[in-house]
Amino acid sequence: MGGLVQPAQKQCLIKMQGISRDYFCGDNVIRALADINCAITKGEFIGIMGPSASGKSTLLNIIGCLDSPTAGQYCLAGKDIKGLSQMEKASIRNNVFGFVFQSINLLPMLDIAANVALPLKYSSVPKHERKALVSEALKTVGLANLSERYPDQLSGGQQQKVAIARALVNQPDVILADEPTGNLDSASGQSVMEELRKLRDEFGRTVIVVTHDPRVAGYADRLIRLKDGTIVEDMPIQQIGAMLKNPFAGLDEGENNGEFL
Amino acid sequence: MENFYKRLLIIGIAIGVFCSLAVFTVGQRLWTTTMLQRKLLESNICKIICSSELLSNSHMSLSYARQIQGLLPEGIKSDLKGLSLGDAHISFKGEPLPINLVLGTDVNMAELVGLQLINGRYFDPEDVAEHKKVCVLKSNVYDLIAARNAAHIDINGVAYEIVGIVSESENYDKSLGEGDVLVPVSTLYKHIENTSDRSELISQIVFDKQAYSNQQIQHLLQKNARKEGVEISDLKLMPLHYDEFRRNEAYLKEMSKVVGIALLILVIACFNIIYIATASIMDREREIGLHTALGAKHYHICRLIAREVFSCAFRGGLLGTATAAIFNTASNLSSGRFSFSFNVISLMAGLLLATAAGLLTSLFPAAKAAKLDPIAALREE
Repeated sequence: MGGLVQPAQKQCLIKMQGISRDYFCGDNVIRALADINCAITKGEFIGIMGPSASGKSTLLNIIGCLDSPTAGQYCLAGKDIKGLSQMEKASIRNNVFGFVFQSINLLPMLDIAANVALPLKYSSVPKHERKALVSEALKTVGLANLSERYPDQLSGGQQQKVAIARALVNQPDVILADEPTGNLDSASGQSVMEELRKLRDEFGRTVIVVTHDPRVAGYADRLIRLKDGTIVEDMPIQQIGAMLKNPFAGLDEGENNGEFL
Repeated sequence: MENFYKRLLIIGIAIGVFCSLAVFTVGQRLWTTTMLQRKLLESNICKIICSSELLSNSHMSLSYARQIQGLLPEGIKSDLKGLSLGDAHISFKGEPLPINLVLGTDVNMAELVGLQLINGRYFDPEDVAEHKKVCVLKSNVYDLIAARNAAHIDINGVAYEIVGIVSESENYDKSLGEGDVLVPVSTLYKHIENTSDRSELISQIVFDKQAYSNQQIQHLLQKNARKEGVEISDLKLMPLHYDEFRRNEAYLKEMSKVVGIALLILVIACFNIIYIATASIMDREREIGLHTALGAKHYHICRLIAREVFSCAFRGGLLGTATAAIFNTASNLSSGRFSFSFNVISLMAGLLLATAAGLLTSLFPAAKAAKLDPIAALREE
């Protein structure tokens, strides 16, 4: 699982300094993130791990401009996100990020091609260009022949691959995946993670995966561990242990078909 | 949008359009009737009836009616309306015609009540003075016998020469009633009823008051009656179209109720549309959150919602207009005439109304949808 792109040689894409996120519930303040400092370079495959309510998804939402930090500075490609309008943030979400969700979130009334084409609609790509881009994205995830089907005609793993195709159709710099294998069996989960890994290895995309499963985190180059909203560990995967390097090794066929988590 | 909400929305808008078209149609009739009321009130044509109660008419004799005519100010044009007592047998070459009422008038009636002369002439003083057996037919009666070049009809077995054909003009006086055969009033007395001038066949004296007010006419009548020693205490002076005016008033009341109910339903339908559109959005928060996460801007979300509501509104408009057309046609049928009530204007009005209502009512839910927090919307349930 060696990377084709060497992250260390790439420019810093995401830089966070002293990021915190508070939620206000009446008089109570719930601190979801506290003093987060990290930098992510282009082409890295990052795993964000931690127990439930440790702030993983909040951090991912802030990175993806879906949420704003209460304090601290978040720079994307050298540009401070603070003060950007909703329209500008929407443009960033559309052009810079591709989102993959645990619950997949394909629209059931649209066929696969239309689902994948959604981000193109919002970036004003002309209709006649969309078809080729959608085909290319579906081809990348190996589902080019299923473009006319509807989500409920696909397996969970195939649906998540469609979601990956949707995430990369706009050729974003960063793929953000929040528990992408959370609802999949182990075989499908493995296949989805291999697709994400391929995006990083073959296309040089930056991939950030939130998970609480060490086997999923094993696909990353670097692992950020969160606990109670703070980073407790941020180091290359090589330093974390052999178990994470090859997470699916040792599972027999029966286990592979069982629950991934 | 889910099919359930789409159907609800289409039905809601269809009801709204149906009610709006009902309001529009009834409103149009109300407007026409109101204008007619004004016209009726502004008319110079009046009538004098003999009545102890306003609407319970009793009749006058010909000699008494002529005395009253003589009491009217000089230069005022007047006429009499006499009614045959029983059913007259009216036929053409032995074939009965579907009418049995004969009206008697003097020479001015056509001019006073606005009957349009299509052919021939109305009665002249000679017809009245000599009790001539002549008649004037209304065009709908003449149409029955025109093909046979009719020059005479028979009333009670006696031939009457057809001297004129009249039609009902826009201002036609419905107070002339159903009588479709007119004869000189003297002829009505002498040949048809075979009775004396003291028989009470005259139902009203019609006159054009010109520049006089009703009060002035009443005052002059009383003054002249005292001078001539004529009793006029049972006479009533009123606009010629008074009965029609009263009928219209009752109609206006009924129609106002219909408009009120339709407006109420319309308001309820509008709130329903907003409620359904909002509920449908709340039901698909997740989808809207996804669109936002994928880069949809506020106007993309607004456009998405507006387009869906617009599409439902268009279909609702078609349904509402079609229902209104069917309802109107059925209502025409129930009143005994078939008239397919559908035209491009009502279709356009219905569609315009539906789409405008759809767009207006989708503004609020669309704005609400655009403001949804994508994180909350996408959060795993």
